[in-house]
Amino acid sequence: MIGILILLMSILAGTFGSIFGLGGGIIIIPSLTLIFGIDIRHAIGASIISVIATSSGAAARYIKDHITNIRLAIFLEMATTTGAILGAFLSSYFSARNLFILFSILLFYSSYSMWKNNFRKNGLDNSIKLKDDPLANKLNINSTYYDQQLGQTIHYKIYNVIPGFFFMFGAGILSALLGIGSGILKVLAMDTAMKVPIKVSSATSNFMIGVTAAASAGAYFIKGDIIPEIAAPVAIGVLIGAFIGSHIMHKMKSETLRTLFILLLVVVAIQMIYRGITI
Amino acid sequence: MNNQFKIVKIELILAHLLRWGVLLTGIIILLGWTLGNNTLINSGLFILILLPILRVFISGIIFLFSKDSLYFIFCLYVLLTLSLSLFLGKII
Repeated sequence: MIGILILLMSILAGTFGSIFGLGGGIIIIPSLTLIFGIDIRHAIGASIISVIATSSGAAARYIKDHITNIRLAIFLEMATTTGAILGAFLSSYFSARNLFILFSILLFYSSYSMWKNNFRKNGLDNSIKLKDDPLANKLNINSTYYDQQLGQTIHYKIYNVIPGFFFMFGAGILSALLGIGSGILKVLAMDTAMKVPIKVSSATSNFMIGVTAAASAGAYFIKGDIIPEIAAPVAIGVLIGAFIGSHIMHKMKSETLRTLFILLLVVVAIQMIYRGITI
Repeated sequence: MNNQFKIVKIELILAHLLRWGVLLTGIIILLGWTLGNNTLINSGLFILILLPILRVFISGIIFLFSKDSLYFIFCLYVLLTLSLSLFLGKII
């Protein structure tokens, strides 16, 4: 019975995560610990499985429809994985409490700055004349995707490649230090710094989070944090949810997606303060 | 646009790999769960974990064949850091 309930909750987490380019940890961890009374270590192990399942479950659809920018994903993945390794080394020098508080301040600030730019039509920033980044041409990451909701092909350019790359590096460090998924930071870096359309940011983040999480999953397996009885309904539920979510995201208005993401930032910011205080 | 064509080809192969891989792992895990067989569940989870890494690996091979050496090196670098972090994960 509990398994069925975990399955249903995971469908929700998978749908939600695949729409926003996150792994669903922000739903999985609190509900497993608070509702089902599962040990936090095992909840984190299950959330790692959730991240990978969200990523793989939605990726097929996003890649087939060209929403995922594979080159951008692989280019930025270099920054996040390097950051994650550095973060693992640094973890003994930082107090997790201060980091959680710092992280939530960063999220509050980001939600404000995204809100300020919320006039971005179709997720494209036409209001400010931005200078083309020659590096984006060299790396061949400017691209197009077909927006199902608008019924038209969107051509987009990528700006501020170097700042975006360093932002991703920072995201990698922070996710290793705090043991959080970095989906939210990945979407932020692409949206805020690199001016990537929100649907592309979400789908590209979706591609990346699975790769990052797979690297740490082995360690969780060895530590025995991945319990089959919990991980099985989570994996199945999230795969179903990710399939549903990837269809929903396709038909959403970019403006709606972006506004919901801003609200999400505020919710996660509050969650992080809570984790910082109770740690 | 030769380049655009290459990307489309990579995308199609990856999408197919993912669809079948996900379906296969889903079935294995579901079977293990209904039978209460933890070995079966763990094998399913193991394949699930391998899928994203396989994604980078296959992208790398396709970039190599399309003579896109820059992105081939990028893929290699990502795979290298992934194996390094797996190794570190054992220590920490």
